[in-house]
Amino acid sequence: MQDESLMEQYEPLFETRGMRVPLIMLPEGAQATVVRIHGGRGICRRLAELGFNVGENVKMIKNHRPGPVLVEVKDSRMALGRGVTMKILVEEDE
Amino acid sequence: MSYTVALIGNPNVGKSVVFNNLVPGARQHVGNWPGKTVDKKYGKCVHKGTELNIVDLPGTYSLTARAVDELIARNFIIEENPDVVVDIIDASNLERNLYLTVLLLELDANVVVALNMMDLSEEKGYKIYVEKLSEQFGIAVIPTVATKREGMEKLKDAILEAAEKKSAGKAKITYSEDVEGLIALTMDIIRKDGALAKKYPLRWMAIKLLERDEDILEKIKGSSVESEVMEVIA
Repeated sequence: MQDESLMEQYEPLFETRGMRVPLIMLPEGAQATVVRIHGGRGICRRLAELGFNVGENVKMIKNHRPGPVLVEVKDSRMALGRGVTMKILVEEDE
Repeated sequence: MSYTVALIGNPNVGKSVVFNNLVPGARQHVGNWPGKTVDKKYGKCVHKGTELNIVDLPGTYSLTARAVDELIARNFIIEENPDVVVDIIDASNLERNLYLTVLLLELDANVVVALNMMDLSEEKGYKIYVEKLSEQFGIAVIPTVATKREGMEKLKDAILEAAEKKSAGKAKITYSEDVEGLIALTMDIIRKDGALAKKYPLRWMAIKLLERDEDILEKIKGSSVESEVMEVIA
């Protein structure tokens, strides 16, 4: 089933541990802390309602291009479009 | 005598299971994934001689007017003013779920909390002080396990009691001093337009205006106090 050449492109582009990166760049299984939300009033509020507050721990469950990513936050799994995940700045846990 | 009872809660907390338990013969589709219910569903049940019209609402994390399903839930609560709002909470995920509870209390809704999934919560090793929670919010909090029909009779009792009392939760959410000042100021302005002030809870309206809630901004258009309000929130 799994096409190896396809799998290759899901490898993270570079080492993200200990760095501040947009949530979208986290590889599957990585855990991180939200450090900042980059966006206007509306998106900040919406993300806060879903649980993405600064200081919150998140875990990347699924990150396959194309399509939404699945992120665990506050004990719930949230599917987010790839666009909004660019607005969530996280620091990956070591 | 009949009362309208709305079921509200975060997605995937078991609202429809509670609905099926409360309404005899109801066969609401239930699935273990969020977003199962996208429209409101109605049902009736009779408890101790009183008819309860139960409305199952789509799951929502908040009461902001954005997505259609959230709007259905919000509009039902603020426009149709149900006698009782049953806020169904996932007891294994209190922090996330209580956000909506606070929003409902701010809206002066007559809230009864159903602490659902108590079994899961216990499995996770949580100990919830139900009486403390009820005391803090000033509302009834009923532990339930909807899939096993536990706590349903108690929940119906609590709904009936709340409907007859007609008293909203006593808890008042206080903000920082400067925000409270602005809330008071906005409330004073809204009060000048009697018709507008009667439409929705005053404090809630003031808070929503300060948040620049699009829906409420729309509602004050054409009111005599519109320009004054806009000045405050600018």
